[in-house]
Amino acid sequence: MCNKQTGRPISAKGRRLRSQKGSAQLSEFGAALFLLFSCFVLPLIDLSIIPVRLGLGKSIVNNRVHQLAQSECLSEAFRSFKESDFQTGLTKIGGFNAQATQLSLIATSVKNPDQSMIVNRPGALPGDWLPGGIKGPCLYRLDLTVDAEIEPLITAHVPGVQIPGLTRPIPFHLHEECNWENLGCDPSSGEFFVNK
Amino acid sequence: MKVFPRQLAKRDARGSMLFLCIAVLMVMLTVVGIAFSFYLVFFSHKHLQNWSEDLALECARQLNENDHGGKINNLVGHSRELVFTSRELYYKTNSDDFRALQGLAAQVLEQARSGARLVFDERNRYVDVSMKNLRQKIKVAEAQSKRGLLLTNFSASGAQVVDFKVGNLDQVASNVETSSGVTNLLFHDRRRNYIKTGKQVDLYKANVNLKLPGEDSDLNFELASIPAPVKGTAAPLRLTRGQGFKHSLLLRSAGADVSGKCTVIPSAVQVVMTMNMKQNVVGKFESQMRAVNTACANGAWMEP
Repeated sequence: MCNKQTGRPISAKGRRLRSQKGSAQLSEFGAALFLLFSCFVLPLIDLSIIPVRLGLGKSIVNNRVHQLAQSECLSEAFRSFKESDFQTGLTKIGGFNAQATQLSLIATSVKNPDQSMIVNRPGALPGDWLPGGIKGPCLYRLDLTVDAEIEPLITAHVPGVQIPGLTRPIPFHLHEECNWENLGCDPSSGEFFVNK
Repeated sequence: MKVFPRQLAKRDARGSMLFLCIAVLMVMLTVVGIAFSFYLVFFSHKHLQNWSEDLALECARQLNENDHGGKINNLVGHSRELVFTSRELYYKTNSDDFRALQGLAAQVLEQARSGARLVFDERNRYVDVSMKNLRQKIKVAEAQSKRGLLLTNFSASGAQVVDFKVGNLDQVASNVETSSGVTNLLFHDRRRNYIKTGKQVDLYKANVNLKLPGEDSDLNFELASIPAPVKGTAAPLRLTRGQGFKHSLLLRSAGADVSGKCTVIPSAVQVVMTMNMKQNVVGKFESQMRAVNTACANGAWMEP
């Protein structure tokens, strides 16, 4: 049913529908909607993937360091870390580019927690920091750090514009550590497994 | 109540706003739902991992509690040495010089042999009791972890010990030092390749029947793989990656208890636990999580 003068639709009770009255409101609201979507909702959705990727990355790094800390000796942990394709595993998350990884052992004195010793290879821990040494007792932790760049859902590559999270990935420094498990000593060589 | 046409027109115009708001709200709720599901999956897996680690460590602790395993190993080692020296003594009394002492030497030899049998039987009894305790621990741990997590549309429950193995790590020798004072026995052991030589100390190999020569070869002397104390310190209880784990008995397989007997004192356990996860926060999703953990018992103490 149409209005004879305007040709616009009317309801059974003769009231005007929103096409007549509401069109102006919608066109005014359209600009606000455009701004809301383009400046808030879409960037939010674009960025919302970053915490998910970060969480997945952290979980993988945590699992890996936990696994390495259960190695028989430190050299085995370093060898296993070197041989495994850890960085490729991280990139499988998607949008996660691991730039550099570093595995190290941190010995912290229990008596003086401010004092700690960091070694990046087996056999480098001085005798003072070994179990029974003068710095002891110590807490031994295996530390794995990953420098990574995490991309949003869609990266808008704009030349000359460097906005992290929009036009370029966000750099992150992931750092996970786990207590070294095998605190024993090799009966045949007399070396501590934490330094062997 | 009378409704004016003007009011109806206004309500219709606002209706589109309401629809938009609901749509945006639904999108946001879906995003939050997805994020929450991810979080719950991680949280549940962490929970299962912790349960599995706790059970593995608790059972490994039980295997060499108060250094019972290490002490039995030392008893086996000493008993073997005693049988060997008693036999040597008995052979010496065959000569005319000591023939008068032959009866006494025979008595000493027989006592040494019966002592070795007694140690063997007691060791087996200890292993049986340990296995019984472990089976009990598995049941208790399973009952405790059955409760799981239950949120409105998410549940992670039914944690189950699927596989449970006891065994040892193949790179670990026994805690018993070689009998350096008994040169003939040392020579025999070297010839039979029973010894794991080291820079600091020579130890007997584990899980090998250290048979004595000649008439005493009927006796069994098998040592458990327990880390020896070094520089006065015992190796602590720990989790391992499970590399080199050799199982000697399956206590549970595919979720069902398995009967069997262990012939040697085990020093490591491997636990496989699973948990069912269901969620319908965003779509319907069912999955099973799995955690595998291996723990090694604490090492032997210094012999007093």
